[in-house]
Amino acid sequence: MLVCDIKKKLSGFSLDVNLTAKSGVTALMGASGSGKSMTLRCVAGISRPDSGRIELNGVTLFDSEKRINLPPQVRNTGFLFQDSALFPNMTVRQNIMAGAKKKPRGERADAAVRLAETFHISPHLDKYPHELSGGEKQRCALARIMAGSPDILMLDEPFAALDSHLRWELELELAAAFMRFQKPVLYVSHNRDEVYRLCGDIAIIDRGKNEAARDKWELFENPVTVHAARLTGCKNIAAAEAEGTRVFVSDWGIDFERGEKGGGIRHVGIRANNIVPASAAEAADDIAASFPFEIVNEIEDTFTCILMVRKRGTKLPPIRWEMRKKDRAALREMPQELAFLRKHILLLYS
Amino acid sequence: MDLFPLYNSLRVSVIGVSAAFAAGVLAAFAAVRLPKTLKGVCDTVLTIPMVLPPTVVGYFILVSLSPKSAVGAKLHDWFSLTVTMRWYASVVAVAIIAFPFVYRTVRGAFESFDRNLLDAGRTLGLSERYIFFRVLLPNCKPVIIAGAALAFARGIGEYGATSMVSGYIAGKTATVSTAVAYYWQINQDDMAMYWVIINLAVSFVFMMTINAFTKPRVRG
Repeated sequence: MLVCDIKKKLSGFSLDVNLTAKSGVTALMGASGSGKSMTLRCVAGISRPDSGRIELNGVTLFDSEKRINLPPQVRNTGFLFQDSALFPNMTVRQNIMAGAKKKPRGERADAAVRLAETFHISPHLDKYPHELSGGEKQRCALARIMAGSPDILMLDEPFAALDSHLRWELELELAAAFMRFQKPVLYVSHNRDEVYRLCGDIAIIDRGKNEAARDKWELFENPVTVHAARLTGCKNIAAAEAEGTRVFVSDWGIDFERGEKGGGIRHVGIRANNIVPASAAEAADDIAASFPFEIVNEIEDTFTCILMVRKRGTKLPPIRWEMRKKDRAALREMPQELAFLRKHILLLYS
Repeated sequence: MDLFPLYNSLRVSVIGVSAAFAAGVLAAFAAVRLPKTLKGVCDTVLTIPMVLPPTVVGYFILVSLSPKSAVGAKLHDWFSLTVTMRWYASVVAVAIIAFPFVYRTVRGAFESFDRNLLDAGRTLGLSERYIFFRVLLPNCKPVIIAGAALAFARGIGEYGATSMVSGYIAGKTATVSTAVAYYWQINQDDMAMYWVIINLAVSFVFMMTINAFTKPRVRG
């Protein structure tokens, strides 16, 4: 288990991370420059926090009060860099063997062959990194890390430097590696789909501060904060005001009954693919708010259609409504009203 | 034909530049880790022999190593060693003159080196020593060799400081460049010419070496 409670001043903002990660994959999700990578660097020991404590499996790696700061060499962490950071002067085999430095020489050579097999890079053992594709580089870097049997695996946007068609292959490889690993994995990314597929728990980080890690289903269902809503892909977020049990959203020109006091609600959100024609609701009671609408703009995406809509007759900022193309075709007979269903409205407290 | 000046030049350059090379690489490595202001100061001090007239460097060497100086006197008392007007005084001169060439080129390579590679090495549990010798140095090899060749070319043609600290003693301290000056002064133009040609040949070979190692390499 990893316990990380650190502060560090960075240019522009300060990092203040309080994170616990059990065995399994925990994502640290945030926009670029939110301090995610720095957090990993601090855990690995290649950057130094100003204060705080880092503990891995009961071993204190860093403690500013007790003046403990173990060098990265003895922390036994596995760190996968964005650009794989393979040693250009060494072959794949030598790179993996360098990762197994603690083992005796004969064992290292065997480990390189075995790990190359596991990560499907056996044909490339005697190639140099510049002869590999981006995905092969990352797999080699992963094999090199695994050669040292780390206590924790940390991945810093491992797909960032890859062409999109190479990502899927590596993602499958990663998922398999995580399954075998059985120890904590910290996964840093800003890509919600990647995170959703690969991780169990997700901690949102924004401008250096993080929210506690939450189960991914729970987080996507109820993001609670604007940052979490945005990072989980909610495209429509508007300021809201609660008065008694009613919630008013002036940007969308709607208000709805909440049933209970809405104290603390600052924003509401609705996902682009959760908007439905009012006629599609099963029961009138399911609908929080419905309104006549007009289409401002229509954009055809690869597999979906995106309609930018707003309340008819207003100049309000448009709302993004997204649907599969065949649903769009069925919509030629335009519905009169759109509906936001109760179960789909995200109540956000920040 | 007495080839001693060539032999002496090569001897002085190889030893002097080797010393400058080791010191330059270590100094560059240390300088990269220094805080900015301190680095600026160290940089200036370490590269100043590059812009000073060699005679000034020679003067400093004489002042600090001659038998009348504090260090020179100690060397003489303890080891019966006189440094000045010997071939090894040229070594000291060449080392000091060549040092900035190694230091500057290598520092540039270290500064632009991908820090992730060093950090990756550390998280893999590799020792700082291993990272320095097996990751940093090999990956900076072309630049380091170019720096060494540049230093060597400068060292082998060194005249100003060498002539001050070692003079021209035939068969003892004569070098290619001091031989040229010597033969010119005593009106043996053909001998001067002979050493000029040798000098040109040596310089040519070294510039070829530099170019061979600094050729841009295409990496995927």
